[in-house]
Amino acid sequence: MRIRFACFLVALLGVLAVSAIASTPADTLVVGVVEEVTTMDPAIDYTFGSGPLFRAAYERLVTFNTASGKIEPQLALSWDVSDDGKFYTFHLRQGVTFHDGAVFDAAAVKTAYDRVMTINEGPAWMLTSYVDSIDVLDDATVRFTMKTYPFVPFLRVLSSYWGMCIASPTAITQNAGDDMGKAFFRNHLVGTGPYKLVEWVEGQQMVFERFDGYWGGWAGDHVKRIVLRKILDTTTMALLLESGDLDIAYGIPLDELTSLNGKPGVVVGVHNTFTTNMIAMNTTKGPLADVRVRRALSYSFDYASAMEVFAGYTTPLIGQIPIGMPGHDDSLPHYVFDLDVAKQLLIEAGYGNGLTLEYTWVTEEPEGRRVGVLWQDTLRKIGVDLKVTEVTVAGHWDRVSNIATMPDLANYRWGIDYPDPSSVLVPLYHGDSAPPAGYNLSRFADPRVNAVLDASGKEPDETKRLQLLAEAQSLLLTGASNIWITAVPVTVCMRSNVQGYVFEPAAFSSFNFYDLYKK
Amino acid sequence: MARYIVKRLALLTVTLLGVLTLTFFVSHVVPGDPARLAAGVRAKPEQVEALRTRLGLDRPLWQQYGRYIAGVVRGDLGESIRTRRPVSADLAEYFPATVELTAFAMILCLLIGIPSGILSAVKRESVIDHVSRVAATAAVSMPTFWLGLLLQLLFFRWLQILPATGRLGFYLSPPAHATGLYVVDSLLSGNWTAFGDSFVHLILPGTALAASSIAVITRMTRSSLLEILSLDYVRTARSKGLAEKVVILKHALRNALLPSLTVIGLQVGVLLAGAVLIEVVFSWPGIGLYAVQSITFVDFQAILGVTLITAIVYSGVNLIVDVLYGVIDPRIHY
Repeated sequence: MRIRFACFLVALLGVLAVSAIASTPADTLVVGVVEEVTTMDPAIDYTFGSGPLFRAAYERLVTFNTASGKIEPQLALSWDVSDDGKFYTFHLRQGVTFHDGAVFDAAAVKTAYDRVMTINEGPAWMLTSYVDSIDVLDDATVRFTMKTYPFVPFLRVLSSYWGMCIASPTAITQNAGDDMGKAFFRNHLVGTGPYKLVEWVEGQQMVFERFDGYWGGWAGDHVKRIVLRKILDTTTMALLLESGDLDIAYGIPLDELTSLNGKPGVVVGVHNTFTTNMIAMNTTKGPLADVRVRRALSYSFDYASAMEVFAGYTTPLIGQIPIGMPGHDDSLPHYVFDLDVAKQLLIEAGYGNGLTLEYTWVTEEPEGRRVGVLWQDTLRKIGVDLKVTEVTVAGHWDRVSNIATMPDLANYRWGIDYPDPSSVLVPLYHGDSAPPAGYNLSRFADPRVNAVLDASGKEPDETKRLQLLAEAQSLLLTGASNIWITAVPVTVCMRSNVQGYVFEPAAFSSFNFYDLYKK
Repeated sequence: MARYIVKRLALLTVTLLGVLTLTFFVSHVVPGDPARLAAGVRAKPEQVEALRTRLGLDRPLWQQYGRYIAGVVRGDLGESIRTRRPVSADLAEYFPATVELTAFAMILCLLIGIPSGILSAVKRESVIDHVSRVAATAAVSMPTFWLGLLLQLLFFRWLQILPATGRLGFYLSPPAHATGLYVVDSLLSGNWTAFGDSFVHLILPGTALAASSIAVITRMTRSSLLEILSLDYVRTARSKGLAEKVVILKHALRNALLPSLTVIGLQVGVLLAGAVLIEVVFSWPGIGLYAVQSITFVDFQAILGVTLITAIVYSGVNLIVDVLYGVIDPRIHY
């Protein structure tokens, strides 16, 4: 009896072992992600979770090349902009078909973008704020008439994958129903991209297969299938990558990387994004209404030590525009950690005897807590008592959107909508962008900054535009509206046989699937 | 009996109304503007207001409450703000996964908890009893999620014999939908690969979830059996010359199981609560995971939906336990 039982156990373990160890097939790329979308509708989704799926299945008119800082053709081959900036005319790529067989042409562009603007949710403002109408000139030519012009960054806006993905006109008209196709597009991706969606098991995984009719063709090295697995627990995700059950693990926290560093077959990647982390100072009330106090705090922040919170993977932010984005300027003046200057400024402002300030950090952005605790320690030396409060995302928005409940200091992140400095400076520092209209949490309102920002949006000459942006950044530093900490790094770890990956800070949560393959 | 059940069901509706009312008002006191979160923090104010109107969040709280309860009576649980579809559709998608996981854990509880309880009682103060006591203490003291991670490390990372996450390997598609329980569905459709794979995926999360309940059931069965074994009627049975097996399994166990039954009923609640943590650790797409995500999104309707279904299950199990009392102990009449 016992021997029989033992035999049974051994057999069972054998069966289990065969079913458990399954390193991924050579033509399949398995990617672990933390975030999953709740709708795949390109007219509605406005989350970082959509990056990989939109990049696999959809395409845009143009894309942004981070290395060159230039706009490049995707579904549009070329474009002309009228001298006054009122008309953008795109000449479209021919011979492109959608996953459902529909033909890509000028009418498809109009149908897709008109739908986004009519639904008018989430990312639609990037079109509705600037575009008055879209006209089909002929099958291969489409013209955008601008509402506000000139608006120089418009091509960069069109390169965003939020709201700018072009869905099949057939799918749009056939599934319109009484909700403009929201129910259909919630779980269908019908684009022109290299991979089409074959299965979405909600809460678990999405499976993509190569689209045979892709205009780019399938010569060279590519994978056949892509599986996006949702794995909420990042410790588990690291285990899965190490064992070869994942080819790519996206979003393992920095302090958990130690378990992967030096592991055979694993390449750890940490990249700086265009998302910045900073502390807004409430310029409307209390001690922080005085610019001397804001400057004192700027000097009291230990920028170098704060980098330890990011496990040393990043550097302090110079100016407001992250590294790699046009307009970033390392030569800009910036604050350095100097407690003597800070103390002196506090005495000048009448706070020589100390003061108490409240600092909030958002649960989902845990670096805020550690930054706060470090700073609390430093501030104590110059008589400032920092009360560190945790808030949820929902609570954060509640507090910062109301001037009465806005804390003295609020740690927060800002991710760009499109790869242009205006997507950082305008929503965060323009006087018209105070919540709920924008994200100017410090309610910094300097007419000179507003004027320079407005001018920079209209300046077609890139050199002159960069000068204006440098001026805006200097004014912000003088006004000390925020404490600028760093660009937030993300981790993309992969098996060493995965080739062809290029990180794109403007679309950091997505992958260049078409160029990826396994050795 | 039938009258008793009808009475209990009538009381159940009162309980559910109470639970919903409490959850409704508590979840609306929590800070956070759901319309703002649903529209996205970058949405323009007019977009947020349009969404607020569409979701009915601009109405006074008592009106929202009235509309919600009226909806529930009609079987409409409202629309999730986060997933943008009816809450009932979400629950239909996620609840079977939780049922499968907790049912598996409950089976483990019964298969391991009761026999080891009997064994510890019969072989009192033996090595078996001591080992089971230490194991029970350890299982009760360990945080569920930590045990989950430990099991993953041991069986997935080191021994490499069990999968660590999800309900199925990525290379398989879910079996044809009948009940939503992959193990059952794959059996029904004769899909043996999916059956084996979904079964092995259950082992680690199921064990981690069941551990503390197994311990509680073991200890409860042991102590109640010991108490019964010292009673006169057991001595009589033994003196009649009945085999020890018959004495224990036929005479003593039936009485000893009554208190255990109460504990087992209560463990359903414990398992459902534990599933929230386990589902996160094992990326198990059940209502625990759904609840966690809904809470961070201040998704009222979804939170209420989860509360409702949990309350129904919990009350239902308690009712079944009470009915079973009568079956096990003929002295109890309703």
